[in-house]
Amino acid sequence: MHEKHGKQTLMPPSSREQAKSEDSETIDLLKRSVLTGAAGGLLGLAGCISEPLPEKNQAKVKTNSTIPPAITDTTSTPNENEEESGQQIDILSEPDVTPQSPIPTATNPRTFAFLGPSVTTVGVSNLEGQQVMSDGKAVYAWGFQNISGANVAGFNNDRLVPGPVIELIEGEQAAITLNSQMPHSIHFHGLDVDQANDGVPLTSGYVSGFNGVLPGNFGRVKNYPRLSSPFEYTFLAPHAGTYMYHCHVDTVLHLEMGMAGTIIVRPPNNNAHEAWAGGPVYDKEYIWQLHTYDSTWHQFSISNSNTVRYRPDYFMINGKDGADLLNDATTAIVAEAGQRILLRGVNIGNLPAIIRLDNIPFEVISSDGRPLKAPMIKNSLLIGAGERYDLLFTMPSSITAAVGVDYFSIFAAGPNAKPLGSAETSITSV
Amino acid sequence: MNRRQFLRRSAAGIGYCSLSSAALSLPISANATNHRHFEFVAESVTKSMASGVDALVWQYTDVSQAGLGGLGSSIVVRAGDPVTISLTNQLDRPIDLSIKGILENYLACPVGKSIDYNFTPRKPGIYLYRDKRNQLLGQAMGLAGPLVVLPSENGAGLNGGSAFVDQQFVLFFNEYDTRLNDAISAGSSFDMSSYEPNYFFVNGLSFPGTLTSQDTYLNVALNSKVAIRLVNGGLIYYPVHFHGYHVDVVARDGNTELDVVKKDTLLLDYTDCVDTILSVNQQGQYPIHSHYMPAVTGNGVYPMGSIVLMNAV
Repeated sequence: MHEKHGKQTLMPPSSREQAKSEDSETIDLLKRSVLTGAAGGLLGLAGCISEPLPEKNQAKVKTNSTIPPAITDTTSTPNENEEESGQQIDILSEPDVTPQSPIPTATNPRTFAFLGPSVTTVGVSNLEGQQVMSDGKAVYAWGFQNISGANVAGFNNDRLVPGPVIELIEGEQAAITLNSQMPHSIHFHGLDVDQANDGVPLTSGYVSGFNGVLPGNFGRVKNYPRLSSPFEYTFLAPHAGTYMYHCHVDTVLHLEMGMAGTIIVRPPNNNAHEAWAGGPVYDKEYIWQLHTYDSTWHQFSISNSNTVRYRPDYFMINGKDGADLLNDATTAIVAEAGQRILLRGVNIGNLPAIIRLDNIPFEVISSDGRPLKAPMIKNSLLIGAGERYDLLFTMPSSITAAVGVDYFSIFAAGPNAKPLGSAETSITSV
Repeated sequence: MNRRQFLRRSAAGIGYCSLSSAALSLPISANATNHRHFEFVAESVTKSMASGVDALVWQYTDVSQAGLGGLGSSIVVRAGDPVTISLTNQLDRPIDLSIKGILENYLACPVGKSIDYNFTPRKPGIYLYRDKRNQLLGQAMGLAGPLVVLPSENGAGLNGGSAFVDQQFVLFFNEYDTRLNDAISAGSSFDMSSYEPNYFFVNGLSFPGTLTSQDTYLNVALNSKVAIRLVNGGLIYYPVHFHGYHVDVVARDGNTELDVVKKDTLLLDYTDCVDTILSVNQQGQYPIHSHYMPAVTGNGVYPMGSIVLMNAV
């Protein structure tokens, strides 16, 4: 594999050096959540995010029915000091949930209230749990929940990870409150927020309602400023486009555990069918959030000498892998022939990934929330970790095909012609 | 004025070009040709990977002056300057020095011998010099460095074009798999296909060490324009993420005709050299780091590795 931006071509390994030398159950969290009836701007995605908001977002907090009670045994960290070894952390306090203003106006920022995983043996359990993969095995994972308004637990309100999608409108103020007992943060990746709202423990501090000695050095934040919980992040939504958010505490682990999500900034007219003001229009849109798991890492609660050589065994789109992914409504593209489809590729994982659409040509119209100088015509696209690309294509007629994402080794110079693994879904014209 | 002062103080296109640092004593006389001579030794050195963790690495050492940050060497010349690099090989195997697009027809430098590499860079830009004789091994062990070719004439911007900046920084990314370093040190072999690095560096420094060098702690002025010149000196992808900013991508491997021109995360492929310009419009400290998260660790422990900070005041 050897693709380069602007001029991407697949290349056999021998050419490299020469060429360049998750049914759901309802959990009663309503008593501590605030039901304003407003979605707070957060969309539950139902297959296609530009379609009407599903009614299910209005009342219930859902979580993966396969999530058992919070686990009690998480870690051992060879080669680490005892003080730093990953240990189960038992913090019993309930989060303080403050009602959020539901109506975004010019003077009142659009608000969201997020809850981070508490990593407790007792307490909130729907933000951490066992994510059952397509092979039936369970992987311990952490996620964000939006507890404002509609109580969206995960991406499409039906899974633990990735986190809920946040929608904003270009030019408006946003206020996102994080409630977290244990050290976590939200970094708004690509939104170019100021230092105070950047979510990096070193420069911006971390959010934690717990002000005691952290067991097991959780979060590796002991030298950084603590921001009491809840903490409100505020920023101005920049250019229309595709962005992402993630926890930046002990990032190598917290991101891997699933603490990430997609942010969409709409044009100033809030047209959900226009990429940016005066930009390309489309009929339907999909988010493909790219992510892999190295399940061996998920037994730890802090980074350690076992969280460096990344060997993923699950290859996902929108938190689903294998057979679970094939007909996942958020990933499987279904549209009428001739409709214009916008696919937002969001690589929140560690590895370079190639999106392929069964040789359907597509235009790459923007990246990282900014239009390209001119659209690039592609039929596959390399997306690096942290990058976002927006792909626009016309739905062919009479097509049912496999499409998906191939994940490649980080070893750019190595023999990586074959992907480490793939995430397969489908495209179907109706 | 030493190389560090020269590069940091001055402004591109206004007399001469500024870069962050390293005592590259560039004898500038505008619009004049200067034969530049560098004396490099390829040698084994012990490098601190982390507190209490040392490994044997190879490097091109400039015998006259240290390179950027913790690098053994780095080069800044002007386009049109004849350049000679006299390389003495103190390693246990033949090596060479190549520069894509500039020095392709290279000769191997035998063990214990010296050889002159002569070239005249014509195109301003950011380049990578490296050993190719040993395929991937040379770079995996550290035989690589950054070459900055400044415009030949006063008044020219980066890459000889119209992109003008007030300040320049070079961020050279590489990494080590200490199993390889240990094997070489022990005289053993190592299967490069199993290369999985565990320590990561920018300009030879690992966070928080990057906070201690003006090459990797980027002090910049509000309302200025800053070139951040990215070099992938390692064998892995570096998806470089800029906090707080999008950058203008102005050249990739010398190509200035780019489709993707504004990025907050920029993927560096193997040997990629990318020029970016950052318009400093908000104060504060903002990390620049690899978004391959193992690369922001030291042997898995966060935060270490390829993280630098930009401080805008």
